[in-house]
Amino acid sequence: MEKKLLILSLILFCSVNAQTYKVEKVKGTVKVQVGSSETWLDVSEGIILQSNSIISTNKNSLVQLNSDGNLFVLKESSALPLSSIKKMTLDELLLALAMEDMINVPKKKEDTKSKSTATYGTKEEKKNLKIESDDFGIMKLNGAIQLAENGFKESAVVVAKETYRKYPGTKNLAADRIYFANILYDKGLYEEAYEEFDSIKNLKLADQERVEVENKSALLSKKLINK
Amino acid sequence: MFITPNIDAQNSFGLAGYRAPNRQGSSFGNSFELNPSNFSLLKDWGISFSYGGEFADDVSSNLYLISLSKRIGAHNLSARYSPGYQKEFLFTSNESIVGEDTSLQSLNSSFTYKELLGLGYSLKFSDELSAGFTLRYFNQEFNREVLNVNFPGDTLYITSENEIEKINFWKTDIGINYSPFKNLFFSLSSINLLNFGELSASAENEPFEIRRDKGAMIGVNYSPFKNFDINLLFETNNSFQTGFDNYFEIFNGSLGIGLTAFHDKYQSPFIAGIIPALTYSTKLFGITLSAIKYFSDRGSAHSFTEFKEEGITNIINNKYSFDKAVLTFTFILNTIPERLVKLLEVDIVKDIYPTFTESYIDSPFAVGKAINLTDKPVTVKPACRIEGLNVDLIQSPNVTIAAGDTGLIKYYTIIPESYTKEKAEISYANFYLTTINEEPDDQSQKAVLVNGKNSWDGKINNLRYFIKYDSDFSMTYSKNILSQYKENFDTLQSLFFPFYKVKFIFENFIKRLVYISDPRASEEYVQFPNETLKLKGGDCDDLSVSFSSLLESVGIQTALVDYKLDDGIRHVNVMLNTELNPDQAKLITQNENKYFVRKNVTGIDQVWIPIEVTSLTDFETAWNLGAEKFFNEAVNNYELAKGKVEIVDIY
Repeated sequence: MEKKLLILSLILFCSVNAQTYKVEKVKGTVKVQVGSSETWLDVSEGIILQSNSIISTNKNSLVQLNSDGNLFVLKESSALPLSSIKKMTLDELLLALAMEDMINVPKKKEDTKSKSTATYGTKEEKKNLKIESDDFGIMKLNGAIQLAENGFKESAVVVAKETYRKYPGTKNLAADRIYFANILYDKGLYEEAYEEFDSIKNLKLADQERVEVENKSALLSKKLINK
Repeated sequence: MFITPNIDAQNSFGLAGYRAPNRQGSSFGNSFELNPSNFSLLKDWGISFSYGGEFADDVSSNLYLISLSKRIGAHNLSARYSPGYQKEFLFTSNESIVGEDTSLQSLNSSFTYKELLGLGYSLKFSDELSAGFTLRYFNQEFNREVLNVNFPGDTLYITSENEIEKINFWKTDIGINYSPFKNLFFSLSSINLLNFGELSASAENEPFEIRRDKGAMIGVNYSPFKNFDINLLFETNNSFQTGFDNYFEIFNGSLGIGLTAFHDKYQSPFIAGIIPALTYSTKLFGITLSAIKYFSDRGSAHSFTEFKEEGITNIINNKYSFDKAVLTFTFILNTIPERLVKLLEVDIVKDIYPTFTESYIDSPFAVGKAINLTDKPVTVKPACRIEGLNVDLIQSPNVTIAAGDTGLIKYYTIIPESYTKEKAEISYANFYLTTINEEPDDQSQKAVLVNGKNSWDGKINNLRYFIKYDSDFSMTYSKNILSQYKENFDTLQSLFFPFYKVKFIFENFIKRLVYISDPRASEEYVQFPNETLKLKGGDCDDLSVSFSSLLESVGIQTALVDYKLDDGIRHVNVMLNTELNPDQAKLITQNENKYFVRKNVTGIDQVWIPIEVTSLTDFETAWNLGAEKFFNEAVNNYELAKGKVEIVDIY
């Protein structure tokens, strides 16, 4: 009984606090994943989506959402958590960026953890299976760029940062990295922008990209020194 | 014996001059004349001898005094035997007898004055304030030759005989000493406050008794420089002594020179004499060579009438005294270790929770302040023992305190594994500071709350101690579960081991639990894993602690997630490391909101998943609930950054 109450209370929590999005227009294949569900469902016009959903569009597809009169169109080959379609303040962006570090395992003074000596199954080296997960990451970056283009620049940066963590292969997409680094620069977050440009320097860059990155790095370096 | 309040006696004078009483090695302590309050710096036993010579027509030598002092805590006791404190006066009267052979025979008188014994007591109220009293025993003998006329028949006989009268008495004085600063010392004492003993002398001898005018004396000693004292002692009869001392540190001791000049109301000239002194003292002994030089002619004769009219007020210092040289030895037998530091205060900064074992090794449970009482840096060894908890003293790290400075003393403790008390109790913590000696220089005691072994202070961070407390039990329990899945592990790739260990342990663990108690009912009480399994349930703390302990015991890295809700109620669940990299996350879930990427200590991104242990359902549901809660509250609402959600890693 108590178990059911707990589950119910979680659902109610999400329902009461969540923003809703009405699907006004669908073209092609658009899917949604709700909450912690493992399955993707087809999206059809007229349904209401909760903010704890992720929406994705296939090639040559799009979806138009309406939230309290605000329209947002997610173009083809894109994915986006609906909770990210929102205006964020600069302070909220800073909080979100701060969480990046807070979520990491803090450095410990010394390794006192007891290690189990138990082994099960055959002894073998852990294999790094080749998993094609970056496609979804690229779709999320596409969605993040559309967020930025629609004025949700802070949210776009948060989605991009999360995507880089969960889909590490997307970090090699220099053009996108430069795009989001420039948003940080435009928002006056010079330290964050400098770190990003400094990291981008290590990527394989086109000549024009390298010039831009080095110029920005030098500029930010001066700004930070004079700060 | 009776008290005779109207008797007068001698006033202040010291054979070594008036020296600073608060100077280590000073022989001041044996001079009851200057020190009626029995002030002493002595820490244990002290013995003093004064031997000297008086330069009259013939040089005579005397053992002036032997004194013995003993300090017992704040009490200082002294006793003095002073065989050299005596003076005899011989007079030939104007009366004489002409014998049959016309020879002339004069009549003689002698007056002997002695101070034989002294006793002293003082009480030290603080380092600044002390008070005490002295008792001194005097003996006076008046011996007068008188004529007796006998007329037994037809012949008149005149014979002489001695009339001897002895008058003994005690005199008591009190005094107080105050030193507001290290370089300033005040003393205030009575002169002839109380006298008691035998009746006063007969009318013939009364003029020859020691004069005992009542009064008081005030002493001031000031050190404008480290090794230099200026001294002034003023008596209410307008007599005074003044002088200085200057010290040089040499041969591990102190070499001092001093000069006292004294004005005595009963002597002339105005400055009746001086007392130069040379002193060498160490921590164990002191030697003082002093001389008393009078400026008036001491060879001149004095009339009986003059003596009768003026009398004497002081046995060793009066107008009939001769120059003297005195050697004083002072030995210090210190069986009590010298106190180098003092514990000013100790504060208990955290109560004792017996399960938080490492907490008391990592950070102190009490913090004190100690002062270095010496002029050199001192290394202090702090130690403590909590009654009922520790048998042996628990040593804390040494602290070096600069000369005269104060230092922070941190007291750590060790909780014995054998501690099993379930109820909280008030105990006492004994704090010690030790330096160079075996015995502590100082100690203090404070009450401390020792909680029961299941007690918890409400800080999520400290749940780790419950997780690690019974790791043997947890390891055995987890291994037993995992051994049932040996075939599964045989077919799995090793990169999935952590994830499936979690899954299998969770499903077995949860099967044995039947209820969850109200999380608010026992927020200060946490069950150990074996207790939770034995009781078949617990609240969110208990379940999270148990599950985390089972995982940690087989090498799964876990963290507790602390949700601080606005209504003050808190909730805890578990997050664990699958050790998969982000690219491998898709192998365990198709939903990116069900996992979170955390950098490990070496900077490698790893996939962590949150589990709501209290769901008491299957692994997937517990994972989904944990993920949704973390995603909604910690991430989407930025509560992690705001501090309302905290990830506490278990090492």
